[in-house]
Amino acid sequence: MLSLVELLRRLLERQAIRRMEGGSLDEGKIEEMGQALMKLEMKVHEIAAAFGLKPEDLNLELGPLGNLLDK
Amino acid sequence: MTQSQKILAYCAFLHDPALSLPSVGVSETNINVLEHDRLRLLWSQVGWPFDPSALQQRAIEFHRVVHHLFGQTAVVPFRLLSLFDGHQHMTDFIARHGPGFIADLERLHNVVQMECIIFFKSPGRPDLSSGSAYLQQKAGLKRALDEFAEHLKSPLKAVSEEVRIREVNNGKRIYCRVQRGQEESFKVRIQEISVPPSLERRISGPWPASEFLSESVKMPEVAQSYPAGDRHGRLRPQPRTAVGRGKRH
Repeated sequence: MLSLVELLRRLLERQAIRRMEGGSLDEGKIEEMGQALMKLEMKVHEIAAAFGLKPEDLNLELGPLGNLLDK
Repeated sequence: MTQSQKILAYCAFLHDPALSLPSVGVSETNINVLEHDRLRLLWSQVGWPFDPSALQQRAIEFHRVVHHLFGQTAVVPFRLLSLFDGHQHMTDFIARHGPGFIADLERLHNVVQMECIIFFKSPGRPDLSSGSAYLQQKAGLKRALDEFAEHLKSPLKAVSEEVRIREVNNGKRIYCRVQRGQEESFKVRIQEISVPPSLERRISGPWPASEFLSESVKMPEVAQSYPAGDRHGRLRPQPRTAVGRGKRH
């Protein structure tokens, strides 16, 4: 579950950067999205650490589909 | 643990009487060859499932078989644990997908895949001073990486027939289609390019040109595969080389 959250977090982060650089977000929105993504990253790392995991441990080998998160 | 007999596919290649075949497969099994037109497919009959404690050893043995052929010619490698229930399933598979395999092997004849991965030495601590600063820092890191990848592209194109760049965790992976025999020139050329202090670069290869296979060969629509013991996976040749993938860099 945590791996899926991390995957979604990265997708959201990429999308936020794209939108910020594309100029479609005003400063207030950038701050808001940045805060939300920052808190999410901290929370994912905090929960992972509680289970003795490092961020890179959140990747999953999906057999013939490759890895959940690209290496 | 009860075992059943399955057929393990290693790789496909084009017939050439001068090629030497590996003498033994995984778990000391015999190596067999399925013939279909000019296509040849190496396979072994294996007891399944493998003992989990021996999986790493089986992976090494699998890698040896594939690389025995790859050292001599172009191959389409399969993933370890791509299994057929029986000989008929494998024959049917090759009858369906043989033409695509042959076309790709002809197209990729005499080429290998070299890889370069670039990534941040250390992701560093995120800037937590504000939401904007956090996002700007992430954007800056991404921009530095994009710029260096673009900077590498042109010199790499001079020693490669084709260059593909994919985003990966914390970096970028660059796949290059290189003429067999030009691997060292490729390495020398890429090592001449200086790397920004915040980034690290690792080069690997030669590998089978899996990234450059056509989509139909990468993902043929078949069942009968048991990846990691899962009976619901699909058989497909690996789009990237299996052993040490990712971690080999």
